[in-house]
Amino acid sequence: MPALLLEIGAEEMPALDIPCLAQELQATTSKVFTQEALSYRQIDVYYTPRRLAILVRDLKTQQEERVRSIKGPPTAVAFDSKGCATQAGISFAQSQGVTVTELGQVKNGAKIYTAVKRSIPGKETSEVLLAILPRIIMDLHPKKTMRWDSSGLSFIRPLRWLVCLYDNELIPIELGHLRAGRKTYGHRFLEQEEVVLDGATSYVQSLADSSVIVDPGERQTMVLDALREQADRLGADYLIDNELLSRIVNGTEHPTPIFGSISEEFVNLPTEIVHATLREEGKFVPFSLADGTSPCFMGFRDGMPDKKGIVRAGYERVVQARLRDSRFFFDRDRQSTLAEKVRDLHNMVYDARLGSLWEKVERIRALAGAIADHTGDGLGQEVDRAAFLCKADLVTELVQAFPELQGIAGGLYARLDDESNVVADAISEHYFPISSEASLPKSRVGTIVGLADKLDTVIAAVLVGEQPTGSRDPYGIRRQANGLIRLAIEGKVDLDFFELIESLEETYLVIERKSAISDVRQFISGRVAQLLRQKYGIAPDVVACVTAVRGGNFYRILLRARAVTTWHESKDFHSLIAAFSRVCNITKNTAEMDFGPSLFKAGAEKALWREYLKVEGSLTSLLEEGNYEQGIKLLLSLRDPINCYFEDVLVMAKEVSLRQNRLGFLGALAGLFYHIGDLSKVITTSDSRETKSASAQEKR
Amino acid sequence: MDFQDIVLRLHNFWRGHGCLILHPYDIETGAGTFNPATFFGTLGPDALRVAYLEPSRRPTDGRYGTNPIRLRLHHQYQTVLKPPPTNIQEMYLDSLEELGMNLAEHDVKFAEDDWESPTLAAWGVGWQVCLDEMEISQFTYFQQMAGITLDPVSVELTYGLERIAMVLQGVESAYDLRWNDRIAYGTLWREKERQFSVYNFESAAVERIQKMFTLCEEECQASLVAGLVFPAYDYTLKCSHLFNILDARHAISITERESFIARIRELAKACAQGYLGTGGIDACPTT
Repeated sequence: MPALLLEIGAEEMPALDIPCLAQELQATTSKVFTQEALSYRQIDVYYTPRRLAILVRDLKTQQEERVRSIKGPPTAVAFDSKGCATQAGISFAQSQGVTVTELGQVKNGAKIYTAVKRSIPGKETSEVLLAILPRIIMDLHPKKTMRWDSSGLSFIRPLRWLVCLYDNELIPIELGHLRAGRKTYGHRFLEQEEVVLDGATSYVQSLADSSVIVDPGERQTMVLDALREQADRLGADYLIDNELLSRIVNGTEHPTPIFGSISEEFVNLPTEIVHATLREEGKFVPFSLADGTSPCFMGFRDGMPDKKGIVRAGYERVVQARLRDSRFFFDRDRQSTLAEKVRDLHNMVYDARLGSLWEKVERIRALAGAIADHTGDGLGQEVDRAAFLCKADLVTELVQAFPELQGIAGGLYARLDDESNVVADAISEHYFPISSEASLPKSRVGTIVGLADKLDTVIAAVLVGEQPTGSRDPYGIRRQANGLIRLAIEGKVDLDFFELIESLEETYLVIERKSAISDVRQFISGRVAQLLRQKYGIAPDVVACVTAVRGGNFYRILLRARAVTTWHESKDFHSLIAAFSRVCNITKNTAEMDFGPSLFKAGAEKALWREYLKVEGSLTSLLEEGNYEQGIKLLLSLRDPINCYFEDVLVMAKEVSLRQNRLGFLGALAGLFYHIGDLSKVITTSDSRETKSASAQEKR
Repeated sequence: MDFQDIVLRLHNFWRGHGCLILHPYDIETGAGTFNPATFFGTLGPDALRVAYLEPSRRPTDGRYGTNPIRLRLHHQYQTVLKPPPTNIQEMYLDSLEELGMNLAEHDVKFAEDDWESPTLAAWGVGWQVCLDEMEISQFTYFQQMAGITLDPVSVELTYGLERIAMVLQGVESAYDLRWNDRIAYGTLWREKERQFSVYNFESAAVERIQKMFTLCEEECQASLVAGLVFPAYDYTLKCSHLFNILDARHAISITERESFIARIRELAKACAQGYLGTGGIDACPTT
C-alpha cells in the first residue's frame, strides 16, 4: 500500500520546541485521518531544525465509506401520541427523499430526534489529502509565533517549502504563498543543496545522502556515542543534562563531534564556573577528569568532520573569551565578601508585596532558627550564619551572568571568604532539590536553611493570594511545597510545621494579606496528600487516614502511613478498625471531658480502663521512637475489651454524670488511636460504607 | 581582509541588493536598531532597504581593553529589509562568502535568540548566527516597534564586525585586528576602551548624569509638544545612553531600573506615534 510523505520546510526552528511540534503534528495527523476514515498502518515522524516531516505508511488508496446521520425534528414532534407521522415528520422525510417509515432515531442529550442515515462513499485518498493536509499544518500551535510575509500565516519560524508525495504522486497542497513540490533541501553547505525526491519512502535515505539525519533518535545516538568514546579514552566523565542534549540533537541536522581543550590560564578558576561557562546557551559539553579538573570539552558541529581543525580552533577561541569574561565577573565579585554583599539585598525587590530580599532573608533566619531550636542539633549558630548569607550571591555578577549558579556561587564565595565548610555547604545546597527527582541537601544545616527558605516562599505566596490555580503557579510554589515536604520526610525532621507556622505568625504580620494562615495549612496538606500517593505510593484511603490528624509533621505522617499500609490487609486490623469506629461514632460530637475511674460501674468498663492504662504507657514510648507498626499491634489488645464494653455498657446512661464520665473516657480512648490516624478512613474490603466516606473525603 | 575593507565590501554587497547606504547616526546608540533609519523606517507600510555601519556603545560591556571580544564600543553593520525577501537567509550567507569566508569549512548555526528591547517597546523573532559557536550576527524579524505591530514586518541583519574580522584575519583578539595595512585595531581603540571603562564603571558623576537624564527627558517631552518628533527622538537616544552609564555605575537599584526603562519607553512610543501621526514623512528615504 502507498505511503505519504509530508515535509514542512522552515527556517531554523528553536531546538527545544521542535520535538513538541513534531509530536503535535503526528497526533493531529492521526486524529484527522481517523475522522476522515483514512486507514493506515503507522505514522513515523522526523525532524531537524529546518524540517518537520511525517511518513504515513500503508495508507489505503480509498477513504472508507462513512455513514452520516442527518438529524430531523424531535421524535415527539415528528410523530403524535399514536405513532402517526405529523406534518413536521412528513416534511423532513420528504426533504430527505425517504418515506416516514424509513426514519430512524438519534439521541442528543436527553432528547430523541428523528434521523436519516446516509452513507457517504469514500473518495480517492489523494483528493482527501489535498484538502486536509493544509488544515493539519495550520492546526499546529507553537509556543510563540511570528509573521514573515503578507500571507497572514503565522508559525514558529518562516515556512519556506513543502514536500507532499503520495508514493511518487505529487499532492500539490497550498499554504500561504507556498505550493508543495518534490524538491527538498539537503545540508546547507553542500555544493548541491537541492534534492528532488522520487518517492515518499526514500525520504530518510535521500536526505542521509545529502548529509541530513532526519531521525532525531539517530542523531542522539551519534552524539552520545561520541561523548562516551571520548570519555572512555580520557577516563573522564562528561556532564550533560536533557536540555543540553536536546539543544545539540535538535539544533543540528548532522552532528559531528569536535573535541577542544581549555587554556592553562584557567586552571585556578573554580570548576563550577568553568562548567557553567561551557554549558551557557547549550553550546559545549564539559568533561571532568578523575583529578577534578576540567581541561577539555566537546562541541558539535552541524556538518562533516573538521579536517583542517578550523572549527576546533574557533571553538577554543570562543571558550577562551567566555572564560575570560567569567573570570572578570569572578574577580569583581571577589572585591567584597559575601557578608558585605548581604546589605545590597536591601535594593533587590523580592516581590512588591513581600519586600526586599533582605526582608526575605530576615524571615528565613527566623524560620531556620525556630526549626533548629526544635530539632535540637546544636547547630543554631551555623544555621543562622548560613541563613544570613544564603541569598547574598544573587547580587554577584556571576549569578547575574549564570542564574543556574545561584547557591553554588554563594557556597564557593563563602569558602573563599573563610566561612566554615558547614556554612558554605549549606549555602550551596539550600535550593535543593531543584526538581522532583533531584537530590536533597547532604548537610543538616543545608536541610534546615532549605526548609526555612521554601517554607517562607510558600507562606508568603499563599498569604498574598498567589496560590496556584490550574496551570498558573507564578511562584512555582507547588514545587517549593513538594521540596519542603520531601526535605522534612527524607531528612527525618521530626517537627510539626503547622505548629511552627502558628508560632511564627507575627513574622508575617507586615504583609498585607489576602489569605489566612489556615489557607497555608490547607495548601500544604493538599501537597502532602498528593506526594504520599504519587511519590511514596501510599493508597488513597491510607493517605486520608493519616492526614486527618496531626497533619504538620510530614516525617511522622509517612511513618504512620507505612505502618498502616503494613497492617492494611490483616483481618485483625480490620476488626480493630471496626471496634475503633464504634468508639469514634459515639464520641464524634462530644468535646473533651474529664472523667474519673471512681464512676466506673460495670466490669467491662473497669477491664477496658485497665487495658487502656497498659497500652497508653507503652504506646507513648513506642511512638516516640517512631515504631508505629508495633504501636498498632499494641492497640490490637484493646479490640476485645472494646467489643465487650459495648456489649455490657450503656454509654448513653440516663444519669448525666455517668454518661459524661463514659463519653469522656471513650474520648480519651479514641485519642490513643488518633496517634496513628483516623482509622475509620481505611477501606477494608468487607466494608462498603467506608469506601464511600473515604472517597468523599478525597473529593474535599 | 582589513577591517575597513569589510565595511566597504558589505556596503558594496548590499548596494547591489538595492539598499540605500547610509551612515552612522551621530548620537550614541546601544545598537544599530536605535538609528532613526531603523526606528522610524520599520514603521508604516512603505518598503525599505537600507544598510549602514553603527558604532554601538554599551558601557556595561567595557572590559578595560582586556577582553578579546567584549567591548564597550563595537561596530555593528546593520541591514534592514522590508518586506523580507524569501531568500533572506541565503542572501545573508552570500554576504559572508562575499567577505571571503568559506562557510563549508566552518560551523554555522542559526540558534534561537528572540530579540526584545524594553526601552523601545520592540520585539522580534530570530536567531543569533554563530560561526564556530561565536555569535557573529543577530538576525531578527521585527514584529513590533515602539509598541506598534508592524505590517509588513521588517528583517534586520546585524553583523558584529569585530568578531567577523577576527575569523577572517585568524586572530585571537579584536585588538590584534588590522584596521588597514598599517594601523591595528588596538592602536585605535585600546586606550579608549580603558578610559571609557574607568569612566563608566568608576568615575562618571552619578548625580550629574541623573540630572542630565532628567534634562534630556524634559527636552524630549517639550519637543514632542511642539510636534518635533525627530529632535524629540534625539533626546530619547541621549536618555537611553545616560541610563546605560548609570547602569554601569551600579547607580540604579532594581526597583528604579524598571521605572527608568519605562520613562525611556514612553518617550520612544510618543516619538513613533507622533511620526505616524504626521503621515510618516521623511523619516528615512525609501526605495
